[in-house]
Amino acid sequence: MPVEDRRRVSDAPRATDGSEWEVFVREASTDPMRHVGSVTAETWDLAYEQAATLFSFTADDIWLCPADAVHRFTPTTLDEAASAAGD
Amino acid sequence: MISVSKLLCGLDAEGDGLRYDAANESDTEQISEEKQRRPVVVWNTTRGCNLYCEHCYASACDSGADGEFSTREGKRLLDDLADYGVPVVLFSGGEPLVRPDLVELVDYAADVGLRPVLSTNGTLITAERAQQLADAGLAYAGISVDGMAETNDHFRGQDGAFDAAVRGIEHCLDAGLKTGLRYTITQHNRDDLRDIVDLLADTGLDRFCFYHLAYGGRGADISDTDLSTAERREAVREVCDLTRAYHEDGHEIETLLVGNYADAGYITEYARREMSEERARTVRRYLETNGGDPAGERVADIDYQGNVHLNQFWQSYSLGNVRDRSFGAIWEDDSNPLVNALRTRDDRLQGRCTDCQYADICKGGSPLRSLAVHDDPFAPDPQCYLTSAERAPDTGGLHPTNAD
Ligand code: SF4
Repeated sequence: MPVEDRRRVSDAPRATDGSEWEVFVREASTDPMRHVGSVTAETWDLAYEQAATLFSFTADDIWLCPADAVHRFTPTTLDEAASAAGD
Repeated sequence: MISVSKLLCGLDAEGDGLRYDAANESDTEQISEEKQRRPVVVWNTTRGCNLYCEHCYASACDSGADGEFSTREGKRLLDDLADYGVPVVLFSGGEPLVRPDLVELVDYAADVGLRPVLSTNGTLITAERAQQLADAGLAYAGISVDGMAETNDHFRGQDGAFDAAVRGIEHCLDAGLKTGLRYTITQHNRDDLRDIVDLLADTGLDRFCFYHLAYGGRGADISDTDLSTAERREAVREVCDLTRAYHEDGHEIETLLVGNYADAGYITEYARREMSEERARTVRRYLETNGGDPAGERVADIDYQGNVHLNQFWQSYSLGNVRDRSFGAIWEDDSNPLVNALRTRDDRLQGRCTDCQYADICKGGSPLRSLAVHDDPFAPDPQCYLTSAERAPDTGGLHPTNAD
């Protein structure tokens, strides 16, 4: 895909009651880490608790990342405030 | 969503080959030939609300949230949903009527082929707005009232909310809008159930949806006001009894139970005890397609910031955000192990559900309540209220119980 077709999704907040945390899981040590959505929680340990209750049935490793630390670039055009990828 | 009136008063004899589904909030025909293929989508258009209800799943307050969709983004979202083949979009909140562009969005949804329906507290519906919504193509308005005046106003945090909601119902009916009641049953309002039906039936309302308490948002904080097993049996029995009494009097109100699929087993057993073995068989057969909690399958939610959820009550976990990719792409992403497990949850039933004769039409009940109470979405629903005799496969539920 040409670089210019992708736009940077705006930094609009994704949670109001706390912060949003991206969740990644690995099911076996040889599997890739996989993004499985996000949870809303005040702190990383509460986010971990939530992710663990949802994914312990299948996951070995669980990683969390604050959603606002993730910059997203996409050809999806819904976001009115998206900016050119290089801005 | 289970139509009590259809199951107990509206079905003809066996053998017509039709199947039953009622996952949506609209008045669309609830007996259909095919399993529903795309989810009904609840869109929380805003966090803003003029009331502060104790059981609000969306944790609404008096202001909107940062990141809410503009009118143009809302229309793009509706295009996306229509392209994916979503049958119904339910405009919800917060309170959707605080959005000044609501009529414009409803109109647009109807234009692109979605069936627009509304969930509202009713207090902001004037005669003019009801007519505008009807003209825009709104197919159904579900209005929340949670008890008679005193109970409702306490629950909703505002004096006069009951009278305003009843006026809103009347304006909708005057505008020719199909309109129904939404009533979440708790210990506070269970005694008002019959009175509210009598009062609103007199105003011309003919559709009544009774919700079991969902343990999400502020609903989780008031789970101690939820009904006990005995109270739940009594409340559901009352819904069944009053439905039949109205129909016997020639007043064909529609009554529905929402949010607890143990109701499917209970209604089958009720039909067997109070009506006939043949009726029970017919009821059960109609419940066999599309049964079970619709989370992650027949219903989806998009919150006011674009996060996609497994249903409208399960706001603490999101599958993805529609600003990143289309709703259909998020919903069909089969790399998500939780979604896959929910969609095949018959294979994961535990405890009392494993040998329950109604497991095929209940599927363990609400995964969100199980998560809230047992930290495990696949554990049995803590709200299950069937007796062991009713659940037992060996009896086939043939023996009446003393539990009522
Ligand atoms: S035992 Fe489980 S499957 Fe059976 S009705 Fe109760 S919650 Fe549903």
